[in-house]
Parts: sequence; C-alpha cells; structure tokens
Amino acid sequence: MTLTESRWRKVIRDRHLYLLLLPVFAYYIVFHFVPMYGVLMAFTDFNVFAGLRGSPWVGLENFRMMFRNDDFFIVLRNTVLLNVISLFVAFPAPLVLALLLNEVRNRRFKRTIQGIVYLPHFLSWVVVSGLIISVLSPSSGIVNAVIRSFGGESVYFMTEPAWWIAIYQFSGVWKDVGWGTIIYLAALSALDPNLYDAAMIDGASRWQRLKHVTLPGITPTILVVFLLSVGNVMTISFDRPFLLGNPMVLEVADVISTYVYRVGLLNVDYSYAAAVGLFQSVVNFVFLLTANWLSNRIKGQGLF
Amino acid sequence: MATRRDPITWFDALNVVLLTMVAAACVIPMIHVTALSFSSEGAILSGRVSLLPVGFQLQGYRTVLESAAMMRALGFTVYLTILGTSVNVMITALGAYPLAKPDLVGRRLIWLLILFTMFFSGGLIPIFMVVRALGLLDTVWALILPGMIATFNLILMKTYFSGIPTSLAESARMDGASEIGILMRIILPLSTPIIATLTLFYGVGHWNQFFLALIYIQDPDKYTLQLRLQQLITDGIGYGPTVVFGQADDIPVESVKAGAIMFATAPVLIAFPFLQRHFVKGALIGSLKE
Repeated sequence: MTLTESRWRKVIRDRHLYLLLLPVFAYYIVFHFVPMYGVLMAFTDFNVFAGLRGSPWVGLENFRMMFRNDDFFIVLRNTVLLNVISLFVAFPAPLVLALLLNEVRNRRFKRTIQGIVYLPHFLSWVVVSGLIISVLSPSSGIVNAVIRSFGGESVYFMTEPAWWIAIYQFSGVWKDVGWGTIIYLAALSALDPNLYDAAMIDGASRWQRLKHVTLPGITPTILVVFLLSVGNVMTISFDRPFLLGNPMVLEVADVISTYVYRVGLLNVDYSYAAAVGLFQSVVNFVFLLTANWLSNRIKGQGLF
Repeated sequence: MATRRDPITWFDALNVVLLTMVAAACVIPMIHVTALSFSSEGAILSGRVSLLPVGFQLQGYRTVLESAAMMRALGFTVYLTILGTSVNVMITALGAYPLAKPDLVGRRLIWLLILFTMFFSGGLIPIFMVVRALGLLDTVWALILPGMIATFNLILMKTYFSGIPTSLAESARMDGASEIGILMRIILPLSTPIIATLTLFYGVGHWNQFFLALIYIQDPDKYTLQLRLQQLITDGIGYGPTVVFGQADDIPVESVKAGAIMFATAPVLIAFPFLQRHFVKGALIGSLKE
C-alpha cells in the first residue's frame, strides 16, 4: 500500500521528466511500434486506400507464395551466403587489426594509423562504391594498371560473380575495419595492467601473454560483437549490394533488402514484400535468441 | 602488449610494415580518384592515371559546380544536415536525461521496450506506410523523423549523463530550477564531448543520406547530394550525366564523375581531423560501459 503510494508520489514528483520523454515516446511508438502492428498487412491482400482494417484477410497466402517463389530462395541464399562469408572475413578483421595496433610501441605511429583507418567509415556507400568502381575499372583503374604492368590482362572485377563476392567482402572490410577496432581497443585499454606484470614475472613471452591474458580478457567483447552479427544473419543493408551491384551480377548481388525494395516499392506488391520483411525480422530474432541462449549455456555470458 | 623490457623483434618491424600497408590501402582509392578528377579525359580512358593527375584540367570540377542540379542538391543536403542534426541531438538529449535518472518509475520497462526495437523491426514496407499516412512523402521530414533517434546514440548519451554527479542537478532543483532548465543549463554544458560525438554521427548520416531519399523523395528539388551522385556514377550505363546535367555531349564524363565524388566527400574529409578526437572519446564511453 505504502509502496504504491510512494511510487505514485515519485511519478508526480518526476512529472516534468515524463513530459520531456513525450517526443521520445511518440517517436518510438509511431516509427517502431506502429510498424510492428502494421506488419499484419503481410496477412492481408493490402489495399492502400482501404487501410489495414479494410483490406481482406488472406492468412498465410503471402507466405505460401513466398516459399513457392524461386526469386525468394535466390535472395535468401545470397543474403545468408554473403553474411556467412562476412562472419569469416569482416568479423575477425577488426579484432586482428586491434591486436596489431595494441602491439605498436610508438604511440604517435599508432595514433596516426588509427586516424587514417577510421576515415572510410564516414564515407557514404555511394562514394565508396564510386571509389571502388573507379579503382577497379578494367580500362582506367589503378588496380588493373598494376596487373597489366606485370603482364596480366585486365580483370572485370565488378561483372564476374565470383569476383563480385570478393569485392563485396573487401569493400566492407575497407570501410569498417578501422571503425570496428574501437570497441576492441576500448576493451584492451580496460584490461588490468597487473595481470601483465604478473605474467612477465612468470616469464611469459609476448605471444603467451596475448594467448593467456589479452584474448581471455577481451572474450566478452568478442562474444558481444559475434552475437550481434548472428542476430543480423538475414539483414544486409540496402546501400552496399544495391550500389555495388549491376545487372551482370544480380544472381549473387540481389539480397532481401534490395528484393523488398523492388517488389514492394517499385512493383507495389505491398503485402507480399511485407511478408518477406516479416520473415526476415523473425528469423533474425530467432537466431539472436538462440545464439544468446547457447552463449549463456556454454560461456555463462551473453547479451541478455 | 609490448613493454620496454621486451626486446624489439622481427615482429615489431613486420607489424609497422603491415599497418602502414593497411593505412595506405585506406587512402590510395581517394588519392587515385582525386588524381582522376584533375586529369584529362584522354589520359583517364587510356589508363595512364594512377596517383598523380595526367593532363591537368579543371573542367570536371567546373562542370559539377556549374550544374544547377548538383548545386540544388548541395543546398538541400546542407539544409537537411543542419535541421536534421539539430532535431536529432535535441530529442536524443530529451530522452537520455530522464532515462539516466536511476529512480525514475518505469525506467526499466521503457528501456526494455526501446532496446527491443534494436532487435526487432516491422520492416521497410510498414514503415513506408506510416511515413506515407503521415503525409511526409516528398518532404524533408521524411528524411528526419523516421530516424529521429538512433537507439545506439541514445545509449551513448544516457551513459554519459549517468556519469555526471547527481549532486549538481539536486542543488539546482533545491534552488527551484525546472527539469528542462537543469538539462539546458547544467547537464548539456557539461556534455560537450558527447554532443560533439552525436553531432558528428547524426550529421554524417544526413550528409550521406541516400536510401531514404531514394524511397521517399520524388521531387528533384529535394534530391540529396548522394542521390544525385548515384545517378551520375552508377545509374544505368552512360545515362547518368544526361540525367544530372541535361545534355552531356561535350562533358568529360570520367573526370566529372571523379570530381563529383570528391566534391561530395570533401566536407567529410575537411571536418574529420577536427572531430576525430571527440568521436573516439565518445565511442569509448559506450563500449566501456558494456
């Protein structure tokens, strides 16, 4: 009784704070929770003018269509394939770079390198794809100029599917490897120096210290980054595949986001595209929960 | 980590070489495209340009700067960036301040719901329907409101606010200051590092805005710079310059493309060194909390 009373007294005392939160509530409700309700359109034959309630309910028909559609399986395969390769390439790259930076003796050299490798993160994908297409151009690009100077022939990097996948991976590493080191460098700087002193006294070499002090110390951070990528297994942001892609490589470059854009917004097949989007969100969420559960069981720690 | 007592080994030398190569790989594409932007069309097409301009010319940049379409896109993008970033930082602060108060009733539930939005989304189409229903299509607000708060940035700011001693706010409250007054006159002046960080993050987001402009904007007067740039460099094969410049017969297409890329990137490159020390500090605040 008194407990609820004091809670209410606190609410009244803090009424101005709740007032400050109003625009924040409004934002999350309108642009996050209303769309979560609106996704029910995936179960209707959606009509923009009739709205969600006025559109006929069709149950799982859109999902049935989705699982019978070859295009859907192609974009599903591409999304998962590109993300799984990223898990082996883009996920470890910042960790390795952070560990290398951590071994640098000269502070000024370290800071200079850090400053340079952070930069590409702030360029847009339009600019990055423009840079990459220029650099790899078979006629005017610097990479093919080097290849030719060694007697090779120009490589059509952007139009051969296998090369395109490699370039897709490389572009992600190029843009974000530096940025990705920040979280690891923060974790490294938070490690207890006493552990290193103790290891030194025990005669541990640099390699042994890396293996037995550094890596175990930042494992929680690695785990967090890993779980977050697993929770995005179905997500590839629109810009990168759309801007690097071209008609010649559509068989590997078309992913869920570009497919939803094309089917939903260009061909205005709203309910079908919403169904694809819902499938994506649900699979992501299930993967996140499963990976988190496994991580809690095996390592005793997770995101939540 | 190496200490003074560790002898310098071949690994240290290899590490310096390796890191230098990584840094070089980061800047070489930018140097190459800068060189292209100043080079003659003939030199570019015959593949003679690497890191220095060949057949120096300024026609590429002149074409970009004289283009009404590019200039309008620049003007709109500056407007979007200033307006959008102001709204973002202000509203994020309004959220972070109450949520940093440890005994706010309902804080855990509110926070849980906010974090949930990081891991589950209604998807593109339902969000598009909301923007459409609100009548925001073809307005600058379609590019601002759907991303008004980035939850990650809200976490950074809340964490920063949590580190400010509560005694300061308490004594102001004793003196009869209102909550908004405390936020404006006490908390925010103490928070310049995190404000600078979020200004950079949100500002770069608007400056680089491509996708939202692609889906929400039809009116060419409201195209963002990145959307124009994309039309110029990747849209179709050879149609880009005609779309952007009207007619493209006497335009040195390759150097114009390179010039437009550098033109859209220059502000980021210029601002970057000044803002760098802030964002590293700011990003560390968030990750250290984990």
